[in-house]
Amino acid sequence: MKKLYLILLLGIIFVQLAVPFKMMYDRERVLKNGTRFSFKTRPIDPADPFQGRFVRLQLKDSHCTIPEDRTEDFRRKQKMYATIRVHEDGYAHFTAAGKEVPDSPHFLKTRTRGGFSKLDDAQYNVRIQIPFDRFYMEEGKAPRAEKLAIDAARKGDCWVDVRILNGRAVIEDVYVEGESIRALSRVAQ
Amino acid sequence: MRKVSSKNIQWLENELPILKQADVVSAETAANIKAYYQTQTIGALHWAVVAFAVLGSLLIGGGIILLFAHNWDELSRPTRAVLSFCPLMAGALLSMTAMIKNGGNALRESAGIFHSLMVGASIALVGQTYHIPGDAPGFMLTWALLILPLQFLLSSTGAYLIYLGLIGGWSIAAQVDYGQAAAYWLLLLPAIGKLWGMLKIKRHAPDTLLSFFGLLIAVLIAVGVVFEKTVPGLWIAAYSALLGGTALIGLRLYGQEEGWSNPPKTVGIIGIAVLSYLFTWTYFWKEIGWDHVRHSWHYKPWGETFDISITLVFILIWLMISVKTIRTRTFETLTLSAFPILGILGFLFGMDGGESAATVSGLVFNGFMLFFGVMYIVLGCRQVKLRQLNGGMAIVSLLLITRFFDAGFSFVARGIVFILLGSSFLTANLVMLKRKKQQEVAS
Repeated sequence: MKKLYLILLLGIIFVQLAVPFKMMYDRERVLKNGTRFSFKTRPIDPADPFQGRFVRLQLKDSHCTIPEDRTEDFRRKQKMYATIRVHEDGYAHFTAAGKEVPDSPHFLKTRTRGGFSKLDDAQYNVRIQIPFDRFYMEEGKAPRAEKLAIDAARKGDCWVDVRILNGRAVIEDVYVEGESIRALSRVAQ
Repeated sequence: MRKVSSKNIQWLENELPILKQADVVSAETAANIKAYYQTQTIGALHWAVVAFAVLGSLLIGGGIILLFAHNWDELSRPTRAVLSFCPLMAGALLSMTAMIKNGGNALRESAGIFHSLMVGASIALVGQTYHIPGDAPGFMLTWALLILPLQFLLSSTGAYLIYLGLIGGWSIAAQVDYGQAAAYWLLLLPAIGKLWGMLKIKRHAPDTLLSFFGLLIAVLIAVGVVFEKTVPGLWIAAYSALLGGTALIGLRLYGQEEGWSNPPKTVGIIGIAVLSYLFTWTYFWKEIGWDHVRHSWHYKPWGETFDISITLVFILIWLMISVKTIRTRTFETLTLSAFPILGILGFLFGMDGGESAATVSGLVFNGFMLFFGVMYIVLGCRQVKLRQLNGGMAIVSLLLITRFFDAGFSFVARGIVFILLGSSFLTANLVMLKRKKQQEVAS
């Protein structure tokens, strides 16, 4: 009986190790093979009791327009795919929303946020839940980083670099006036 | 039951075959001794040892989580990857040691708690390293499922309570994020199974009692969270049946035991007192029932059926226990069985009764609460149980103070009821004194 329990315990420990390993493996793959996009953002600084301080990123552009006849597809918290295109300013924007995987290789797999809102007679706006809205930072640095970033965001000079592969996104770094936010907050000490 | 430490029993069980072989005791005597210690004794826990072990592992576990939360961003990704596995490995090693060494309560509890916390620390650290968004329900569900087997394998009450806390937390987060958390009931099943097993083997053991308290409190909170609330007021029927049933389960499982020794009765009675106090207000009886069904994206179309099914399950459990316990026909059993009937009737009448039905229900529950309190005062006096007496006094005092200031009733009505009640208490007191004197003279 004890032997069986021990084998079961070992099995569970294996699964417990496998879960964080799989989480890491998936993200490392995205960071290695994913395409890099830059999104304009505005940061704020809250905290999480388990994972510590982070800078919350609010993308300037986190919505898509959809035609009136497709509003039913985008109720609250529905699964969706958002196609990404880089505009002339060098920053990435969401250009189309759909229920199916798009033909373009550059897309984000996510959910709708709060349903849709009316733009004009034929067009509706759907808000996208951004799956890279947290940038974890060292305690103490995060509030300083936030201050710097808010000033930069006011000038429109703050962005986040993200790698995206098969719809999954992983943050590489956040930049304030062209410099990594980590380095900046260290200097500002 | 006598208290004997499990280590001593294990030593004796190892000695018996040797004594039998040396012809010191016969095979029959050895079997009788073994049977006696298995059935007639319970493990004596050194509570201080267990408590310090539990506190120690909780503090160390919490400390490690906080240290990681600081986020040492000078560390490279590979270093952080290795670090993510360290706490989990430490927890796993402690669990394995507890199992291999046949560890006592203190070691098993420490292992269960520490290992459970470290699973969470590991996932949180990976989330921090890769800036994974704050998906609270996902995080808690993964954590809960990964530690689910530990409570069974290590027989750890700490791991059991952490699991209950996590699925409770998940239900709140899921209700906010997904708009529903019906799967909570599925997640609760293993916890019910575990408690069921413990009740069969060691009903009066401290860890069983603690687990029972944990489960009851978790369920009471979860009903409020997980209910879809499509039909206003259905919760009245559900909670009445749940609390009435819980108190009766206490009477059935633990008889006249009280307080910490009888978790279901304690939780049930406190719940009934709180609920009947709420029901004394007419506010809770207004705009309830199917005429006021809620419609919006918040409410799932299946919510109505789901809530009714859960309510019916509670009613069924209460009915089954009532049938079994009502044979004793004590005042207490009858009152506890009657509470859900009043709640359910109040809900049914309130559905189309409007203002007048609400007033009647409010008055009925004023009466019920007064009766409930007085009953425990009388029972407390009769059986010389101070806890019951104080509890009864608290219930009656709360009701009277509230109604004294309640502007919903006229001054005249309140005045007359107070004087009548006061007179009846004094009369009862005089009658009791007279009887006591007669008894003293007779003896």
